Amino acid sequence: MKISVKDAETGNRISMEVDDDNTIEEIIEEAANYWRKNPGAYVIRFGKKILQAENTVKEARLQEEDVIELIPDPEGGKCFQKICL
Amino acid sequence: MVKINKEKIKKWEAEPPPAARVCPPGEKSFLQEKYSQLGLKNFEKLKAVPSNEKKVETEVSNEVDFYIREIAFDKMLKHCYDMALEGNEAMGLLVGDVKQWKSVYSIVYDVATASLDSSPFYVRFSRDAFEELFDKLDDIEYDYIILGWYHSHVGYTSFMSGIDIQTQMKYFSQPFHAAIVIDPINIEAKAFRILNKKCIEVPYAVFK
Repeated sequence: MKISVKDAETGNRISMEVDDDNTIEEIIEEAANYWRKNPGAYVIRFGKKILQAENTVKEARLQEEDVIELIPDPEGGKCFQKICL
Repeated sequence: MVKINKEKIKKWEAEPPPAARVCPPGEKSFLQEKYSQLGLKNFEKLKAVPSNEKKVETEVSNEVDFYIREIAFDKMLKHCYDMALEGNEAMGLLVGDVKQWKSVYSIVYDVATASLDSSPFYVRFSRDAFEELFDKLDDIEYDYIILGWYHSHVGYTSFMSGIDIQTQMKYFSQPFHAAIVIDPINIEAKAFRILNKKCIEVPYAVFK
């Protein structure tokens, strides 16, 4: 099955062949490696839903031509959370 | 099997930049006008948070290539002000597109935010807020780019802290990305970007 992964920071997309038993983690790792990003740094959007890394393509109900997206998860402020909160 | 077939690079449409009010580094009059226009008063209620954080050395650029729609700019100011009333930082994403005319420029059409884990010194999206954020992104009808992020410093001036620089480098390292840092108490809103491992303060322009 063919799906696309969108990099929200550039708008670029890659199209991928995936199987029903592939996990979201495998897909994101492949895409992140291609774009030289840290796969663990992103939240994965599929429409209005978050995709969980451990779910398979089948469990996530992805279908042909669907688009999933890497969304940044920024942190701001003066110091790290464990010090501040 | 996961196999990448091909990459589709997003094309930057050719379009002249909008007529806009330029806010060069150091300019305050536009922001003061905006605060007055938006009715952002009662500064005595806003609590300045003392900070001794060492500021990252910053250079200044004069080239205007970051345009923000006024509605989005107003939303950022209001969000940061409202959160400052509670003594906390605000944050959101800058949503828009990249265009080209004589040169490449960024154009922010809207901002997207959701519930935050926020303190006087720290901010990020709440771990259970992403579906709220995705609702907003899913409603956007054009093929958007997240051009950067905005957040506030509650009374300790607008600059890029160490953690802000880390975020910028991790997610927003393209030359068309920027970070907007707003201090609602000192009435500051500055734009920054990281280029060649240097932090650069850049002018921005606000259009209707």
